[in-house]
Amino acid sequence: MRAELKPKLSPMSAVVEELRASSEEVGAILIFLGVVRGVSRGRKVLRLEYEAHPELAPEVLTRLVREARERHGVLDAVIEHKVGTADVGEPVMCIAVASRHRREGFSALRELVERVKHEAPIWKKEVTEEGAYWVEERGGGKPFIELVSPVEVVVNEEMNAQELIVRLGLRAEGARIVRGGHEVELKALLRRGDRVKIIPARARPSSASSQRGK
Amino acid sequence: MRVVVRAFARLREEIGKDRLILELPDEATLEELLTRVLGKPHGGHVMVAVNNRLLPSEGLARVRLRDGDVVDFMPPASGG
Repeated sequence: MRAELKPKLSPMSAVVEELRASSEEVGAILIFLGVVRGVSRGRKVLRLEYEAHPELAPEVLTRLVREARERHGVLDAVIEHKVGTADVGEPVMCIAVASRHRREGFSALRELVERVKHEAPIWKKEVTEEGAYWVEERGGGKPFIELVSPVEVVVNEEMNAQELIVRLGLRAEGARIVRGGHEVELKALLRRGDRVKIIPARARPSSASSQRGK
Repeated sequence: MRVVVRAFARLREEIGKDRLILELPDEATLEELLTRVLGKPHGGHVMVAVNNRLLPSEGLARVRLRDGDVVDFMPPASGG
């Protein structure tokens, strides 16, 4: 288990070897490698500049790896995230997971990628031909979508409650997930076919019922 | 009391410094500090850590500061 900020990412072969050797039970190694795109929102990108909180970023990354192991039962995981200046095409984020089988590996990897992007105190500035901009993917800190009243969804694929919220582009803080009349924790596993209600932070039970009546 | 504010990324550029030392009234809250340093409009979109401990975004306003606290103001994460 390893989670680090690095000025230059390790060669992929070294990461694969590290995970392959971590346990005799390893049956799958899955890797997400983020690289610097040369075009962003129609602008030609010259480079990215990454900044991270020097103490908190490694701490958060380590916690995310630990939680992914606990939630999904994967055997080992590595996160390396770039800090400093990155050229177009350069690898800037490597998340690699070793698991017994592909299923839990894919789940853990997808969740880790989303959580690193949204929870680790790491920031990037895009330097383009038209100027330099701090990237804030949620539009100045707002979530993609803001729930104003509870919604009910059916889960078509196994995932935990936190992942459901992230995949819907919603803000996890304060949101409650209810299944079968009972609130579930964010780490609770949701199964295919589960019908769950997402109650946003501002719609507590009393207001939730009145909003349903509108 | 005296607190140290550290600002990161976009917030550091907006404030123009990576570190401020501020005198605050005793019992000052984080909300008062946020307002003084960043202005109201920023309040909801800032990650905050006190003494290297990240705080949940809900209830920030009620957190009381203590003399010697180091408070980090950070924009929403945008790594990857």
